[in-house]
Amino acid sequence: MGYDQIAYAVKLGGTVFFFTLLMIVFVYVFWPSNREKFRSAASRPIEDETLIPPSTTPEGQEVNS
Amino acid sequence: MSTQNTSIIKNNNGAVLPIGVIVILGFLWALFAAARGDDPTIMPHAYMFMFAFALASFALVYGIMENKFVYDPYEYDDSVIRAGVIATVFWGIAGMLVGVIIASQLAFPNFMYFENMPWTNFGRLRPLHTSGVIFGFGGNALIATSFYIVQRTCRTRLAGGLWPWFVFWGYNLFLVIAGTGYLMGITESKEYAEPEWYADIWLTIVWIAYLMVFMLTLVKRKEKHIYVANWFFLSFIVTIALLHVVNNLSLPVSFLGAKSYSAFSGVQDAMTQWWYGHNAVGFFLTTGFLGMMYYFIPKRADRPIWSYKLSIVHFWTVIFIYIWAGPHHLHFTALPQWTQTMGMVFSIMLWMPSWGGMINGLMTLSGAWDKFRVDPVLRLLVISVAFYGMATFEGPLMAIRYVNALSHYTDWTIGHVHAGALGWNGMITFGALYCMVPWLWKKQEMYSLRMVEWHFWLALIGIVFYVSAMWVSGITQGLMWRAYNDLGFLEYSFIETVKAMKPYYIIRAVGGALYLSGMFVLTFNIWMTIKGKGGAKALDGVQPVARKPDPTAIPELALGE
Repeated sequence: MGYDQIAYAVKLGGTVFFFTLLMIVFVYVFWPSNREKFRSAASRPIEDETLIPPSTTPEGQEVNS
Repeated sequence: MSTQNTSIIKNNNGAVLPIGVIVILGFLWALFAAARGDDPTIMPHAYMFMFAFALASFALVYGIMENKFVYDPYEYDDSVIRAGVIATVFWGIAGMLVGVIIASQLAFPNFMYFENMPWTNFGRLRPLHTSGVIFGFGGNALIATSFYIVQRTCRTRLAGGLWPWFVFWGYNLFLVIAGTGYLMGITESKEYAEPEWYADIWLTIVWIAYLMVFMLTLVKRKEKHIYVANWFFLSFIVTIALLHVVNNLSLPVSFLGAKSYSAFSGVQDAMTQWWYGHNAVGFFLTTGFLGMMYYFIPKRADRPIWSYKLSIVHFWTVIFIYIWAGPHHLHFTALPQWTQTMGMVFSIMLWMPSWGGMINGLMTLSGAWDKFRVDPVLRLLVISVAFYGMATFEGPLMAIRYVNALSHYTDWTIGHVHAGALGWNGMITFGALYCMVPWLWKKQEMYSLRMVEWHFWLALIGIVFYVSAMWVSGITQGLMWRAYNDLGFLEYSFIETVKAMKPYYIIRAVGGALYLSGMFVLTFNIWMTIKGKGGAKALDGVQPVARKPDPTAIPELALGE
């Protein structure tokens, strides 16, 4: 396989690879069941950020607060 | 929650043994290098390593004997972040001061230059400036803010016990070795990767420890979703590890000497270097600082991120596109034409994610723009994002081959990087410091918000002087270099183009001095805040004002608007 063939394969493969990757990102971002997760994550810095002690589960904390 | 079980105290003694082994092995190498070093330049570094490692051994033994490594698992690990804040300020002043000195040397070549002191030469001081501000100021700020943010957004204490301290001291030891090396003339002569092989190996060890601390903190997180800022920090840590190791692959002349030779040669060496160099911009100065943006802007504005979806698209597109943009540094070189074109195309594609991220940062202020007027800290954070947008517009423009034909090797490049470094990295770091200092030292607010206001304007005017002078001088330079007369000869000799730069170099030095003076204002303000003076009253159970800026708390600022 010569230089030209390698260069061609890399260029073509790269285009397909990046486009597929972008589509995966878009599908993940707009997947309906992720909507609530992203909505709450957007507020993470301005919500309660006190430390949850090692023995407490995240679920338990959510119930308490 | 955090105050209920304070009687439970744990210790970090588990990390003492592995750190001790690293320190002792390092000491032994330094001992051999000092005793049988193959060149005189390795000696000072061998002694510095020996001194640092001896001090570390003493600290470890003392800490174990006096039971100093205890901690409260119900509190965040903030002590190492406080140290990081102080180191950030120290390196900021050192790096920017050297910047002003070398800017003055360009305008007045004999300024602070002494023939019998080779270390005052521009060529040795310049890497001290770039490493001081990028790796000293920026790097310490990144380590400190990443440790701060990962704990708060994961709601868990930093992992690794003593290891975060190893990262802090180890990284700063690297900086001292790197900086003093440049002054002595020790260099691999790769831009932004100048330190020699032994400093590189030391940084690799420190960086792996940093990656482990960050990753293991994420692993023990109490929030299911990993907040986007942590993704940006993680990409910064992982990619810098990769870039650093590959670009610094070199063969030492001797294992007890300073000099090494790169594993690459010719155009491969150039390509590897600019793959590294441009991604140092992309992953050190961009994604790491975007981690800061995605935490401190929503936090300070007290608004959620405008679009979390956009932040995810921003993240994946930035990291996958940035890594290919390096070849734009090698237009019109021996690099294959298609590789140059690829670098150019990927640079242009970066417009979209960069501006997506900028819009996301700015729009987070939706419904809170009044705070932009009254809160100078928020203004620093927001203006930094505007500079991020400006620099990431200009960068792809300069990557276009025929724009590059004019801009490359001229001061336009210097203007561009300083719009990014002073405007984006500097301003967001100042904003982050002004947020974190009251929170870390448990004060209600900074000592003086009016001084923050002064800092803002000094820095902004400094940048305007700096960048506009470099734009004009860069384009002038580019045009003079390529001007031909009717007979086909070059219109100007090189020295004539140098002479034409003089006024711009003076303006640039003034701009840099203004920016540096803002740094002194910051230092004084932080110092007084730590001492608890002025507005920095001790917290007694109330939330820091910084968390939710109250316009009525700073009426004197609202008056003049």
